[in-house]
Amino acid sequence: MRRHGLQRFILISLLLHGLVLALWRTSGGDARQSAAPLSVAFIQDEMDVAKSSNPDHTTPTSPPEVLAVQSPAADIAQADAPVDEVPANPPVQHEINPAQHTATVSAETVITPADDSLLPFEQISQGDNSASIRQLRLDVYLALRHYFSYPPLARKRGWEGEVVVSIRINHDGYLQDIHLIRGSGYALLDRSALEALSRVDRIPNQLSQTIDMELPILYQLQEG
Amino acid sequence: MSYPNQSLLAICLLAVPSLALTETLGSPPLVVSATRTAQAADETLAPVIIITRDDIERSQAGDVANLLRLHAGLDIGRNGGPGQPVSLFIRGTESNHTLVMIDGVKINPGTIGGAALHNITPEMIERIEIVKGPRSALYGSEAIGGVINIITRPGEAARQWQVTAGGGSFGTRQAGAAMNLHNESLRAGVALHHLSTDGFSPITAAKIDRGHDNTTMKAYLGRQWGGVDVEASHWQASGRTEYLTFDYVTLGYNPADEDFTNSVSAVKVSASPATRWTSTLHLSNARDDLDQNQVPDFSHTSRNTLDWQNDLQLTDRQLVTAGITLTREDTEALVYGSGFDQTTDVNAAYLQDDITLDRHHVLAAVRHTDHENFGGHDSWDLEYGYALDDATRLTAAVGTGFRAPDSTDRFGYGGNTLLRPERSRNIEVGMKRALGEQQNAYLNVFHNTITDLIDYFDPDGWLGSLPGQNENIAKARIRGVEVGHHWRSGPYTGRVEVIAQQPRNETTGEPLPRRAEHSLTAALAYQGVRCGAGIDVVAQDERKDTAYSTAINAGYGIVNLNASYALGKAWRLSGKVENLFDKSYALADGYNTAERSFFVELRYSGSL
Repeated sequence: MRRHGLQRFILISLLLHGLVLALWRTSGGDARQSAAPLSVAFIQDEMDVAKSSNPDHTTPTSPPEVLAVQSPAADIAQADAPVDEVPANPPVQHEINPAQHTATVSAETVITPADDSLLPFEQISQGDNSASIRQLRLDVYLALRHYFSYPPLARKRGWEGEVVVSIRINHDGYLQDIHLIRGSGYALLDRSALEALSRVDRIPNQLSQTIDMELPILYQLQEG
Repeated sequence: MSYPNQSLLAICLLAVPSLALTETLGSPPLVVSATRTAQAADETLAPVIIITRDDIERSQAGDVANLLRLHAGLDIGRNGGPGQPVSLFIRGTESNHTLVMIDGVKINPGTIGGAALHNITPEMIERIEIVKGPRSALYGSEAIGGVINIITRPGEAARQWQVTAGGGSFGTRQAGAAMNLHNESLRAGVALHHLSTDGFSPITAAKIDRGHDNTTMKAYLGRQWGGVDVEASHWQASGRTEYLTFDYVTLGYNPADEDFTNSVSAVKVSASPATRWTSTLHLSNARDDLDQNQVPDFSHTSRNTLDWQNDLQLTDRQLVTAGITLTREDTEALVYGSGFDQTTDVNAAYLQDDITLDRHHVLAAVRHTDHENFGGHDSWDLEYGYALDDATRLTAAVGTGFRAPDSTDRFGYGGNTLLRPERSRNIEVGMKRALGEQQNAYLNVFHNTITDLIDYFDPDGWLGSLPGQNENIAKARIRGVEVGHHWRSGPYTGRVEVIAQQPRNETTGEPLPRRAEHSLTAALAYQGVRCGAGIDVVAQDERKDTAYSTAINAGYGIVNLNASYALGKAWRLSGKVENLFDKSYALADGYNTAERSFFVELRYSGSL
């Protein structure tokens, strides 16, 4: 009787798993592929790359041409949707919206003069700039550190990678827009990073301005 | 972009992943780091030893047994030199109480004894994970003393090829070549290695050298189709081992030899049906064949296994693993004119829940095994970890293990098909502490009770008329304490491991044979840009030789030296001296061990 029970269990389990796999295959799911981009910001700026090796660059420059490009889905709320329910688009799929232009000062810090309340970086007094930006970056990292964890499944499977997200910190420190810029290749890591950011309450913002940041998050396993 | 080295031992000790702030040029990433989990167990809760590729290349060990013995608590019994039978006793348990896997596939023979560790060449190994303590709740039979998972090369290697050649004492010569081709969706590789040695006389009373030939190959082909990853692989070690057999007519030793084949063929299909769910279907065949060349005796095992494992991350703090395993094991043997040819079906279902809540970490696992002969058997494991502070973790665990009777127990001499599995219950507590950023230390105390051990029982003695048979009559108890200290300072690494244990036969009160009550291992290594050097020390006190004799194998200490030098970017020359002080000692009474010996190897690595 016990053997029959086990065989029944195995048969039912196989059928259920087969059904789920078949449905999942027809829905075009892709495990390695990142979840559909929640939002993609495409910074089209060669100078930016050059500057990225010099974060303390303080010489005012003419604002380089930067296109902030939004994909159709651009809301952190969608990060909570199951991956199966969103279209499995390739991670980088841009829909250019030329109406949005921003000025950048460094690769990781973008001040977006989208409206009058957002000050371009150049308007901040030169003496305070680099120190303030560094302090802000430090504040952001210190504030975020408690929200991240390594997904246990990724840890077990040995998944590592870098997730790049963009965040907007408004003048009183609240996180507003959280977009995935570049996935790690593992939907679980991407989702984990976005969910961690969605839980962030408030970040000290001593600049009292709205700030856009690109934030790389590196998931890395180490030998015990 | 370069990231700072995040070698924070405090992080390694804690199950709770840590976040490191980095300040580098360019976009500084937030680094979310965690300890890499051994495939066979979570290292934050279970005592795990990891032997990395660097360790293997540094030690230049000739076989897996010589790698394992460099860690206290892994006792080796050995009937001679290269290729001669090896017994491994983890934490004082029996030699058939360790489950050995190659790439997750069990290689223990179904006929008799433990896995053929003496046939596994380290050249093909990327990493060895050793979990001490019972793991039958996930892996089933034989996981009483521990589990060893040997992960074969290549690991994450991309487009590269490698050629090695070397030789040394005992007429040893070896050569190998490997090539790997990886791109985003396809990976393929092949590796071949041959070892040939004239060896030395395994028996102290004889003067006839006995050699060993071993050809090992690995081939694999893997591809991703969308989210489905499929990999087919084959590993095989085959060759000939010469040995000596006692002649009862001349009362001398005669040369004999046997051919061996150990292999693992597998197809693995992995997929993620959902973001938080991975499903792996693992179809494998493992073979362990031994054929005598002077007599018709043989011993063959072929095991087909279908394992379907699902990992489901329910929340960021909870991981559930569930699976089923279907096994058909064919065993066939002929020993001194009598033998068996049997097929045994073993099916099992298992479930594990791994939960982390702030400072608490709980792991619970249960498995039901349905064996063709003895019916159902349940095994379970419960582990708890508590992070006392950022550097200290306390652990407690209780778990069960079992060993299903093998074919010789059931159908060989004294065979009894009504045998139950041997059972164990292990209780242990431990502490692991980071001592600054570059050091850590651990302490484990364990108590393992093993019951229903199978032994031959003859009601009226050997000369009586009543037949004897195998019965579940023996009991053992092993108590022990193990302490270790690992450190790193720049290019230097070091470790010291000590175990004090009392492996006892509970029926007779006698110590269990070939297991030392006190062992110490130590290693010191330097790895510079061009050159590296290391020293390994193994010391054990005396050991009783067998349960049937009063012979004692004396305590011993041996020292091995190794060094390597990079000759340019592609060439590396390495060498070793084993048993530097030419210590004469025995791992089994009447059998020789290697005297002082020298080996050199030249390796060329190139890119494709």
